[in-house]
Amino acid sequence: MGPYVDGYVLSWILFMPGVTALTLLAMGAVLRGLFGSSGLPGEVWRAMALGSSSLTFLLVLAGVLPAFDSETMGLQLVEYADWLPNYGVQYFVAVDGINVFLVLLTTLMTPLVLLASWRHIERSLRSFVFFILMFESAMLGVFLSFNVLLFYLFWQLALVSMYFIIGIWGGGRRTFRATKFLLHSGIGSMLMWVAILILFRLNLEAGGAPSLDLIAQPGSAGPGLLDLPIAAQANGLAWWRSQTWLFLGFALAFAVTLPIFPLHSWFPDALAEAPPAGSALMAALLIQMGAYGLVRFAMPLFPDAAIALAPGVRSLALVSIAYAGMRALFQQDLKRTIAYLAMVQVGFVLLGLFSFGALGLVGGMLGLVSRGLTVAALILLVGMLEDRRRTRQLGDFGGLAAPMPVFVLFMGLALMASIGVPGSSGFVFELLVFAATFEAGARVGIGACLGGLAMAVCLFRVYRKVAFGPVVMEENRGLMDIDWRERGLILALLVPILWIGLHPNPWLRRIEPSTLEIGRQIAERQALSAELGSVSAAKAGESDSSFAGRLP
Amino acid sequence: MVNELAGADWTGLRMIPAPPLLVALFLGLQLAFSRRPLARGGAAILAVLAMVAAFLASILSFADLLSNEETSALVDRMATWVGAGVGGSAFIGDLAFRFDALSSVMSLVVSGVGLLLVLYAARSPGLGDSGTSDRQRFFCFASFQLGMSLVFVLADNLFLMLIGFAGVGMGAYLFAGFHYGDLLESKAANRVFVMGRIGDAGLLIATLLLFRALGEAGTPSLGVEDVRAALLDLGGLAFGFPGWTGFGEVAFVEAVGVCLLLAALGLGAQLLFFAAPVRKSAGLFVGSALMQTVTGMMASGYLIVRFSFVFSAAPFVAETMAVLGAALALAAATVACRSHQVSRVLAWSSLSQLGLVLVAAGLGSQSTAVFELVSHAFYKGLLLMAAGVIILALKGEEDMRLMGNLGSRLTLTRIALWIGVFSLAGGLPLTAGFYCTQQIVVAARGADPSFAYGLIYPVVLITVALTTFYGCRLIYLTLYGDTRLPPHLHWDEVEDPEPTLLWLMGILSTLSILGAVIGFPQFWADFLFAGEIENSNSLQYFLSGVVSNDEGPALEIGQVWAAGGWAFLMTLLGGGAAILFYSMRPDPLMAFVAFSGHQSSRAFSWVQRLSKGAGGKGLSGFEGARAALDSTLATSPEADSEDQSLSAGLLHYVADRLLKRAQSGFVQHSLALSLVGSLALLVYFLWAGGV
Repeated sequence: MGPYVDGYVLSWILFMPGVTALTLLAMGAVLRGLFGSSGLPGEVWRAMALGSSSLTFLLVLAGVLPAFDSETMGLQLVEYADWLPNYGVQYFVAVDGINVFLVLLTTLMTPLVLLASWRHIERSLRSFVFFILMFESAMLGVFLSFNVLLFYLFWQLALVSMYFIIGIWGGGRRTFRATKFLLHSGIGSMLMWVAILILFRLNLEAGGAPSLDLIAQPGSAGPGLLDLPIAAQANGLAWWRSQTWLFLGFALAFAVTLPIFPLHSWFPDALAEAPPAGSALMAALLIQMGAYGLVRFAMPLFPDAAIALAPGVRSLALVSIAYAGMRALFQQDLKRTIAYLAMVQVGFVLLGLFSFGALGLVGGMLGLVSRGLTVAALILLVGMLEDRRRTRQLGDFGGLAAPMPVFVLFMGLALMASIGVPGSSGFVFELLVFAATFEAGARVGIGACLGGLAMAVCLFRVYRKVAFGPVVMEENRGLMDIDWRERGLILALLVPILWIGLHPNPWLRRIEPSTLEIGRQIAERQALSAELGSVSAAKAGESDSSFAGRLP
Repeated sequence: MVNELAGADWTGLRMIPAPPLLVALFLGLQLAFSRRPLARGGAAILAVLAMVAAFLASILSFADLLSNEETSALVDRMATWVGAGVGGSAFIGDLAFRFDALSSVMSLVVSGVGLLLVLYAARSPGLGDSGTSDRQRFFCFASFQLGMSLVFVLADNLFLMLIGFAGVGMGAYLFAGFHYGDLLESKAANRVFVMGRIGDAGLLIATLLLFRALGEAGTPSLGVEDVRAALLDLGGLAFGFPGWTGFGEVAFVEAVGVCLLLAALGLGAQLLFFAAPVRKSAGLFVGSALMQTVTGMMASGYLIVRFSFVFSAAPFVAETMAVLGAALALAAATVACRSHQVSRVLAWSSLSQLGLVLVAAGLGSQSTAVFELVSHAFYKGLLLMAAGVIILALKGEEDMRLMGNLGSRLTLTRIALWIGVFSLAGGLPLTAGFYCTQQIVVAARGADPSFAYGLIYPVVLITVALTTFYGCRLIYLTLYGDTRLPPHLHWDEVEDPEPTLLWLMGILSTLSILGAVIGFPQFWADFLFAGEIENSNSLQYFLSGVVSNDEGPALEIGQVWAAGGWAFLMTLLGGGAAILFYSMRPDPLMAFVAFSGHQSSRAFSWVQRLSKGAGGKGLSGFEGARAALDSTLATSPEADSEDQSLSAGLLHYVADRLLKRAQSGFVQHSLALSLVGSLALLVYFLWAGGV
């Protein structure tokens, strides 16, 4: 565990976008107050935003990745400071193998969506840029925070930013859809809030000092949450003290944003209604929060509950895969098809995570990155189509390969990656996840393989209808192929997709130690809760389903 | 002493698949981003150079393998491709190639015949002018698919195999949908894609089952040789599922076997669609068909032979495979007898031959399966090239009913076609196909005569007769008889192609004949050379260290000769029938044919209309129904009497009566049945097996 690293690079990364947005806001207000002008023009906002988000990306490339040590299991580049010590809220950010590529993905996506929406935001450009930047900071905060309450604050900030992005710049039913989105995720978040409060109290009781840090740091007042024993089952204690209920509190919030059947209904709606930039951010970043939260918080904090519920979660994931695959078959709106594709992939990620093996965790985390890249590429491509034709309906296309060959080529590559054709990032992650699932049980694994097969068949049917055959609609005949700006955008996503697919080992090597660390935490905490004397916890430790039995 | 399993290092192996893949990448990127294809045939030159490099690298590696006495394999280990997990679940796949006896044969044939293929495409006028983007796309796809099939046959572990396997399937998808603007063709491409993904899923599940089981056994590795060693060490059957599955011990190996069979069938099913581009471009058809013959069929067969150790541990699956193969061979040959289009006759013929490969491999005669694959690559390549010459000479017309007497114009092509058909039919004791057919029949004779396995032998014999029949029919309808060219084609303009193409056909003709040397059956050698030659079947001897259970059936020499004799007799019968129907045409026979055809067509015309309308490839529903009606009604004046007489005849009757009901005469239906059957078997083994 590294001490302070000079330079505060994580803080720079975390706050640069948000601070840029706030500075621009303040400067605008000053200008307005002093000169009575209408504030800074939107173009300046946009240019500044692109500059600051690109700089953030470069900082990750230059400051975080070189400093990142792939051998270390624990946290790196830790920055820790008191904030509200009396309430256990500390400023605690760090990277490890679990979040480093998600941070990279976040900082890559933001400049891309700014570029993608360069010309298309006609209304309130300044507010749009503001919320995009706030969203970036919020997402980075979610991924970097190791204090539960800090995590929760950034989580809420991300949801609210996305609410505004959908609600202001969305399509026809944007207000309804944005409200639906906020209601779903808000109710989930509230449960998490209650669970966090209970955690705070439990930790206070046990350690005597308030702390909501995940891991105890040299300067922290109390023990970390991961040192706190929580009974696997509430034998004689209040029911809310048991892992099961706390786990459910967290997991429901995460499940909504995952999204998983049956809590998914906001997702296709919101994704379809959001502007292209918003849906790309949502599909690439926002819906990663849930799976990330599961790995970072819910599974290590409440391992007994997670393991006990794992068969149910796996079944739910399979149902989700089957359900989303079937729904995808009947969508006319291309974005909704992609939404269901994202749901299928999250099903695979969940199957990997809840196999509790190193393979599944590595595969699942790589799957998040892969899903972000492929789904974002697909959404941006559909956005480009929508720019040209003002429609996303499947029936309005056909034979696009003739007027738009490069578009069709890119779409094919992104689709192949998303269904896991060998040589793409999707293949590596699905291979790892399937292997992990086979460890948990061959039937689930075969079910997952067949689900992937069905999805592939369905998506290529859509692909054929969009891209091949004769050009039926006259409007499609003269469509312009994507230009160099658009090609650059898609290539920026396709290059890492193919890189992961063709040479995954560098990526896996960086992710893997931290998944082993997660595994160690889970095993340790199982032992802790077993020490509590709970009969059921002891039983879980002996049985086959325990994680400890699977460690090397 | 070098470790047998490790093999000797030889970094030249990467030079086999790398050139075509790099060329494919370059051609594709160049075309995608500049929108202007390379000028002056640059694409063709690059593709040819890449295949020359791959072939030379194969030859050099082969020489190195032969000269290296200490080891049975060369290995080129480049990097860790994917590595995750620890202990029992270590999931490590190296980017490594392995060149053992089986891989060497496959890589030589794929790169060699691939080179001929690319040369043919480069010189053939059918692909349009040089410097068009279609042409560049063709060479891009061809290089990609050839490179991927080389990756597949050289792969050291199952991960790399997965990549190569999917690449071969993807190549078939690209070719089948070459004319993306065409609705039917893009639909056919999607079917190819689905078949490929089914195959992928089969191989993926097999891989993961093996991974799991090897991890349980404490040797987590997916190197092909490691899997084999583990399976052999653990005694095959004792290598069962652990308790958590509830599956029995036997079920595991059989489940893996079924998955592999599914993979092979999925890839094999793609063969059917190689006729798809023929409607748009005859030249492309030849290229695409050659590609699928060289890559798809080889990959499909290679998979079965490579994992022969799984099948020898799961005899029930192996026998099922043989039965399926026999059914496939018969069904496809039957349909080939009834097709009017040259391309479809050859497509179905390929499928029929794949069925025979499955029969041979399923009955434990792996070297025969390899021999069949190799000789098939030679003679089917030859036939396709010759057919391409005919179709191009007729400006894309490929209906055999509109040909006839072309042999007097295409004198040299005629020779090539004869040699190809003789080798395909196994007619002359000089060709590779002859010895191959003999061995397959002998293998079928040795099948355990219980249950359905006893049927394999007669079915294979009938297939041999049908194969000869459709081969001779192809020759008679195209090269002999009266000219029936449509008005827009001029007989005088039909000419032999340029010398380069003739040379290529000459090379393949020579290989079709001399190929006999590599798999010369022992019983023929004993007969001809009075037992002075040991190991006359050099292929079998060469492969003996690699494939399992290759002893073949234990038959007495008399039974062997009887089987061989039957095969020869059936060839004569098929050829004789073809001569009778198409050359001699005695009146009483024609009258009978017309009568029975009339009867059967009245009874079954609606079935035909239905099936052709629904499943007829290349024809819309209405056209299909019309065509079916035309060809069925013997009284229809437009219908061509030539093929009509036959299609309404006895074979027609048999095909309709016995096969059409079940599979409507379309092999994709029978294949779909096979796939469904395999899936059902898989489900059975996993859910019910051993419980």
